Amino acid sequence: MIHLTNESVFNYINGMRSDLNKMEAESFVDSSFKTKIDTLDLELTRMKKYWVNQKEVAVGFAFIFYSAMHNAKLVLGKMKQRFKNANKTGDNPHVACDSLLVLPIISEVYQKTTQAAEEKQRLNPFLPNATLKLVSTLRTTAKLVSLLPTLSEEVKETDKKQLQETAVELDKKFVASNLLNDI
Amino acid sequence: MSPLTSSTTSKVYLDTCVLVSASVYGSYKDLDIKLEHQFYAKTVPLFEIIRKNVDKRVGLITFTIETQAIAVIANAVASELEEKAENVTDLELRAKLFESHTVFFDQCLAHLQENLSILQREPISQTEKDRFYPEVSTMYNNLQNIAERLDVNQLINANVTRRYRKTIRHEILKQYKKRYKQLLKLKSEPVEESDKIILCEAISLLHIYRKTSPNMRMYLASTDYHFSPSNSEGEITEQIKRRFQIICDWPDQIAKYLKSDGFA
Repeated sequence: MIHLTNESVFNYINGMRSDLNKMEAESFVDSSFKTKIDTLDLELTRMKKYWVNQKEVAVGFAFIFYSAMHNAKLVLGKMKQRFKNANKTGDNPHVACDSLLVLPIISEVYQKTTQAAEEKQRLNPFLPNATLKLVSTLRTTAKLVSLLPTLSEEVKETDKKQLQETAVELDKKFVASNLLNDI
Repeated sequence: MSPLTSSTTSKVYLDTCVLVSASVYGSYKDLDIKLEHQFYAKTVPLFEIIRKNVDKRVGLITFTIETQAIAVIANAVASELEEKAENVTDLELRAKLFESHTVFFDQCLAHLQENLSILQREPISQTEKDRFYPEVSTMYNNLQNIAERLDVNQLINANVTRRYRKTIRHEILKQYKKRYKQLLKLKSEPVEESDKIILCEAISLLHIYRKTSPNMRMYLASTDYHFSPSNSEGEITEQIKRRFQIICDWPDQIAKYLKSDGFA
């Protein structure tokens, strides 16, 4: 599998968009596109790990960019699943048209995340919020075109015990604190 | 509250805390997991009315509210994660913590987006907001001074004869705390700048709307004591209503007002 540098990711995504445009025009889904999704997914996984292990910025900031990569990966996962089954489910060429709508947003989310990785302590204070808004847009768009996994699909690989513990702790947090004073 | 005539209408400006309360919930039956903001239930009737009357643009927010709401949710989840992950060096456990937090965070953001989609985001110029800032600030300063001067002993001495002071002191204190809850809260937690700006925005909106609908009624839905009453009485709520004609209350109460205004 190809390993991408930050700069080549944007070119790679552009290449994927060209492929999708071609598939849409020819009404034919190329199943080898799944390999390209895997390559991009690998890079997003690398970035996701980078933010988990990042100690030079506050955990809160790292979490936002981690979450951005996590969501981009969720959408890519669903995209791959649809490409895999496109011929069986009659999703040809709809999956290509739908993917064309989310890929530019994924590219922008990735751009913001790499910008944050480069800036670290000199982080533009508006970047986390801008990234959050973009992630919301990605999820909303992906949901509209059936490229967002359902909640049960989303948590399939998640540690359930950890999920329960987190729910309890967050519940306490939302009850106990005056959240507005914290921002 | 009297029903509105056909030429009048009502709008609700939603405070950040209401938008956050309405967005923080999640129930995952398979996992026996439930997460719900303590005031979520109070926001449900208001959002039901707003959803049913989406064509009437009854629910209003501004850029300030939208930005604050996202930041509040992000901050709450991130600070919880920070507490947990700060000293965790095991990378696998750290990754699990990040992942479990992002699941809830994403759900809350999705709910926030759904809620935002039925609210009208109104532009308000800085100049418009600034117009009302001095009066809003003066009102809160005066109330803060009153709150600082509140003294239960003085009140008891002034109103209860010496003979009964000791015996009924406990009861009076309870009543006093209830009666002046909003002011006592202001004494311990002075108003934030962000609250003043929210009130300025609500006043600006009322002025803008009244240019075309002179009988417009403006509500401010909030779970914050700096606006909404803590029980049946509240000096801050009263002052806001008297000075600026903005009716502040809890979201479930605002839903009742809207129903009596004719919103089904």
